[in-house]
Amino acid sequence: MAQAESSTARNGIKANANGAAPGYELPWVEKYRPVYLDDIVGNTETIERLKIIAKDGNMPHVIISGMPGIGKTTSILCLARQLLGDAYKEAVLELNASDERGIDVVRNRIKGFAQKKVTLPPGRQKIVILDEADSMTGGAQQALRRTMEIYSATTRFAFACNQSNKIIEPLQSRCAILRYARLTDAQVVMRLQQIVKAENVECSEDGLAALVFSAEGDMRQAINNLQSTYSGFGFVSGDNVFKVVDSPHPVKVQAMIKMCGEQKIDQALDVLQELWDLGYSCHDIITTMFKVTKSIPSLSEHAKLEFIKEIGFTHMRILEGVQTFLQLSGCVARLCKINMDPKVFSLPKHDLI
Amino acid sequence: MPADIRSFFGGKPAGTPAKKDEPPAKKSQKGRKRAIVDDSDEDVVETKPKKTTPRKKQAQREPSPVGETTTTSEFFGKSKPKRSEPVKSKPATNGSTATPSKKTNGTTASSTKTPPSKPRTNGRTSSRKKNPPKPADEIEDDDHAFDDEDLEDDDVFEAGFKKGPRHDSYKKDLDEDEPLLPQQRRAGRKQKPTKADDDFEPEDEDVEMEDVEEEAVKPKALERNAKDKPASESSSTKKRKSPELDDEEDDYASPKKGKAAKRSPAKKKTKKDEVQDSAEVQAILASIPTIRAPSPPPKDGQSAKFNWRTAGNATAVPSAAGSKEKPVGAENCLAGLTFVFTGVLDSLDRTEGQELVKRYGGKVTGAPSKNTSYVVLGSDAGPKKLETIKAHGLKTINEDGLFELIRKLPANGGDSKASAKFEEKQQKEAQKVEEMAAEMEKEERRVGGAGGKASASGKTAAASGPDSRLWTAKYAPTALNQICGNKPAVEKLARWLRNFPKNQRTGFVMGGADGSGIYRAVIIHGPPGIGKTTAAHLVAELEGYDVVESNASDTRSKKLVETGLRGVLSTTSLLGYFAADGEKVEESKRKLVLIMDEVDGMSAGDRGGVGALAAVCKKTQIPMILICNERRLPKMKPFDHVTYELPFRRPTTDQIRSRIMTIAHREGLNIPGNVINALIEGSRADIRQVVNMLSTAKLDQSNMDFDQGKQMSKNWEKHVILKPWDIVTKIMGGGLFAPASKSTLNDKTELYFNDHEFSYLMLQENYLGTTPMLASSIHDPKERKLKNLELVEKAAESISDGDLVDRMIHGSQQQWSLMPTHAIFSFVRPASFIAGSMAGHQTVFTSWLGRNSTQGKLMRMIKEIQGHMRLKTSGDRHEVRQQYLPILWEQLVNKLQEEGKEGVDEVIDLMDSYFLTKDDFDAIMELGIGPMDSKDVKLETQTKAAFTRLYNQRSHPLPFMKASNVIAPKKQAKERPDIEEAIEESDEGEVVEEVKDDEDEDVDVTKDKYIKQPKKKKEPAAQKGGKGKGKKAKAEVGEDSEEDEKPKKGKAVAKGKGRGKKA
Repeated sequence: MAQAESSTARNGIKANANGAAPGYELPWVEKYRPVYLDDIVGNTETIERLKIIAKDGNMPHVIISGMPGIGKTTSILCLARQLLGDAYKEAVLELNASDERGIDVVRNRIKGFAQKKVTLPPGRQKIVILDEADSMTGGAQQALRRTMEIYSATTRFAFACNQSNKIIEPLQSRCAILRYARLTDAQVVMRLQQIVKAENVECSEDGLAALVFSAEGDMRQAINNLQSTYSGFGFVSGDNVFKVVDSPHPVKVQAMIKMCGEQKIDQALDVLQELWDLGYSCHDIITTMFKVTKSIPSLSEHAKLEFIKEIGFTHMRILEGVQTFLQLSGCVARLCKINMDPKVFSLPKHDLI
Repeated sequence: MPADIRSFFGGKPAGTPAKKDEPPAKKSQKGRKRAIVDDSDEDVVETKPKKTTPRKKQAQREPSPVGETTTTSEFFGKSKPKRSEPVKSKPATNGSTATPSKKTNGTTASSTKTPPSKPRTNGRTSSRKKNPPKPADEIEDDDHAFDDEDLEDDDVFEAGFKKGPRHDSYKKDLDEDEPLLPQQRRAGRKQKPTKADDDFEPEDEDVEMEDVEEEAVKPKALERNAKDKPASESSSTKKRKSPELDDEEDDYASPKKGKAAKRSPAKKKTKKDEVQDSAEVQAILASIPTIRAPSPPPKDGQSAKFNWRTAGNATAVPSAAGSKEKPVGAENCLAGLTFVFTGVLDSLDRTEGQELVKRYGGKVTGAPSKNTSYVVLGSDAGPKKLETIKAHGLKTINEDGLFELIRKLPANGGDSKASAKFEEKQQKEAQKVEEMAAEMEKEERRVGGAGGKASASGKTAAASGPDSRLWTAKYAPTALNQICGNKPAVEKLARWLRNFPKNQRTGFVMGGADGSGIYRAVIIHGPPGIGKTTAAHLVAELEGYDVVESNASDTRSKKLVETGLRGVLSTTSLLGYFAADGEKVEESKRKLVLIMDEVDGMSAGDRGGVGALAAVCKKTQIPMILICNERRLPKMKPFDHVTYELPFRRPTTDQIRSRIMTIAHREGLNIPGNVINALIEGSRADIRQVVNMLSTAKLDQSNMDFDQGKQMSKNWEKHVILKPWDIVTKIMGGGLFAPASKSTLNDKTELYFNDHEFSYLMLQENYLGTTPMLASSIHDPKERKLKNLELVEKAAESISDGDLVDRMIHGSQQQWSLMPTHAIFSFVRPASFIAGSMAGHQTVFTSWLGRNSTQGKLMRMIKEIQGHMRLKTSGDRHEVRQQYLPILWEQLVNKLQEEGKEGVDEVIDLMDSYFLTKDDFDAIMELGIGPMDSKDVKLETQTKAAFTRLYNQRSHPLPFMKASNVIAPKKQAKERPDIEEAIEESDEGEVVEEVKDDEDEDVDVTKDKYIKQPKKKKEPAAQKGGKGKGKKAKAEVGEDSEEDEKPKKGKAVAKGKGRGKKA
């Protein structure tokens, strides 16, 4: 099965290499998946190291961890391909979460593969690629430990995972741990522009900016959004992108929160109204507000927590079914109130009495 | 004691880390070893004498003989003569081992002869003195110290050297702070054990050590005396008899040699003292503004308490964090200087400060000593440290002073004496590294030759390209002395393996010196990456065993362990009989050892494997070595008592460093020592990972500076999921909320998601245990209390809010999208208020779980009661609880309590009128709170018995069938055939219960419930069947035997009843 899988991967690459196969549109993500390490964007330092490995051979065991869509699997595949060339097919065992990877598979298939003799040039070893390794069970990982050591002369392991803490410590101890950082906006933009050029996509500056913004450093998502926007509207503009992405524009929400912090309630409500008129649901707006508040730089941590408290309560109310504009407005008003002098709100009682 | 002797002591410390031990038994290599010893000992030199303050020593030593002789005199009387015997025998070995050292190292030789006599007497007596005064509660510390003790048994000569410093430290501990803080003490002592670990000679003394541990100090000493003469003699003689080579090899002669070697640095140091600092440096040093240390607080009962609180300072957060810019200085400008941090600094937190010093080549120690160059003083410094500072007249500077120092001092510390010393040390280290590298190369060539041969016979693929191996494989230890740390454990392992055939012959009845003789298997446990598997394989190889390995990649279920191992357990290795072309048959290889790796990795699919393996351990005929990470897991329980335990600990940085330096050197990597330290610390002494790091670093760089190293170890930090305890400690006591902290809100939320089911419960359990940071700036105690209260109130409020959120998540709505909100509400926000030092607070596991289940149980009771009362009352559950129950308690429970037997009738009538059952009566009792607390209710046994009897005799009205009882139609159908039986059983159940009630009233309710429930309802059924009471008498006979089957029967009864009703 692994062979089948790797071969499909290769097909994809072929299509990639040949440019678009006529009449058959691949997802751009696959079509433009890098084939060589040189094509990989971002994490330059780490990639440089991988390139050296690819050149010199003798790959250590590696764990690559990081957010989705930043090139973990791609780098491993590229590395394997560059290391092994034509022997890729028989010297690579690739297993991902869609394969069964219980302890039995580790004990039988992986171990069996590790014991298999494949003639390779010196400095090259068979490679076992375990994608999404954080979904492997503890037992299966345990079973890998000695296997990794005993057959290290002929087999090397590469893990890709989102959370390295799901990999048991003994395995981490055996591996070079490469942490991939989120891609910077510039890196994503660069790649997007290449694709835009290759596909002759009409796009505007703010369209790209919107793509980058919505992707939050996830290259895969950026490319997918690019493709959907293009096939849906034919033109990539900021508005079109957000229509595709379909979430309240975080920049606007951020501005709104900021205004709340500065007690500019009227402007904040205007922004809210604007968002509301765009047709976003209460739920979307409040979730975005929550996310944005958590990482807004202009507020102190204490202020953030207070804001989140209010937003959280509003979130609960909305979930309870009160999905009205009034709730959101109330929330915004309360956010403004947090930073205001409480005295302003006290009634001038003494006059009455 | 004169200064020269102390410096002599200073030289002695056996601090020789593991690495130094014996070379592969070649004389030519002595020199090398020597070098190592030299180096490592310097570290110790610096830390050791710290404890010995000249002033104190005089003060203390004089009184001690007088004051303590009472207890020790007899002991001395006995011990001295005996002691001297081994001494006599020992010098021979000493001499023999010392000679080679003389040959190689002329400089030290001169001093070898003279010292022994003097220190011996000195040291010995003083150490003896130290023992008796130890209070009993200190005994636990003895296990740290026992290593030392055993040393002295082994070799008095050497013990003499040992004692001096140790004695001092004890002394210091004892009289400096009577209300010793265990932690501090332990920390203080730690140095000793490590040192002793490294070079102690655990031949036959281990048993004694154990004895020593268990017994009070005095008996211990006496007993040891009695024992150790033979022991030490035998050990020495035995060793002597064994081939000379052997002697050299396991004798770790290093302590002795080390001693000789160590003297040299000491001497050099004194010489160097004459080298004055250059004027320039002096000027700089003088220009550093020193501050006056506040005088230590008076010593009284209070001080101990005070200490506890300030103990948390290490994590306390500077008030003006980040306000000052960190200075940039010349490289290594602090070289050779030793710093101690105490108190809370103005703008640095302590780790930052320490890192700063380390970055510039300085050394940071935990406690001030006379070797400390500077004490960096902050507010709230520990009183003990202040005292030491005063005693030694140490220079104290504040944070600004430190910054000054860094800015002004020239690179490599200029030409000050400290830096000269440092340089010398560096040189020595470099030299040693080079020697080791050379040796490694030599060996590699040798192995390479063998490998070439091997590859000729097609044995190893690795031989084809030398660099195609992983570094971890390439630089795996090939000799015992290359294993970093855990020397004693490795030694024990080797000894056990060596003695295995002998023990086998004697049937594993003789424990032997360290008690390992009765075991057929050992279990090695410790964290990953510290060489457990390596050690096991290496020892097996060196002892001439052929290894059969099984690890987690093999299936090890019960069946397979039983059948699969059978083939191994009583066989011998073919290697003893046959060999490949042109190779010699190694007879010794006939022996097999079974290494079971990753025993804790036996998981799914290995069902019963652990048990089976433990069983195998009991009767195996070949030695078995088990290896695991977590020995304390419940599933490892079966190995208790079947295996000999060998814990492996993380080696110290010093133990690893030279090995890593050697590797780096061999690979042409230029990495300064402090960077290596940072790497090692960053990986928490995981040797394998450090080697991996080096190999990765080597790819694109040939040197590494401090920041790169830090960065790398940070990147490589192993992420593991935190346990609830750690989570709560980290969020509240970890300084995450300090203004200087760089952790974002997302990081904190992430903590919650480490264990989102427990983290907030744990926080709730422990949130009162902190000293809130936000209130710490307030000095007026009253105001501070008020502020604390306010903070706690806010936290509590937030936790309550969190519960509201939780209800929506875990309630009927299942709004999981609220999880982040819940994280903030129930975890991050409360922590933001009360975060602060957790010193003195023991993290408690959440009690919510238990409470919750109790609540559930009580709730069920109320429901039941309300259900029964429903015909007569209109209240809901809460009303019943709040309005009816107190009155019912008064009328039922209290009545019985007050009136005794007389009230029984009335009580039962009342109960019947409300359709309450006996169950409900108990429930009412349990539900009482306040003055009605069931603990305060005292019913006479007689009353109880009468009540039960009467109750059972009567028939009671039944309001209705509970739905739950009627539900069972399916089962009913199944059981229809044995109606009779069911009813009968129910009767029995009833009787049984009665008896039980008489005997123990406060049986737990759940059990009763099963039995009683049926009763109430059954009664009618029984009547219908016309069997009820008549049966009881009969049943009574069989009650005993029936008792344990109660629960089951109860159920059956219930069913029967239900059926009865229907009928």
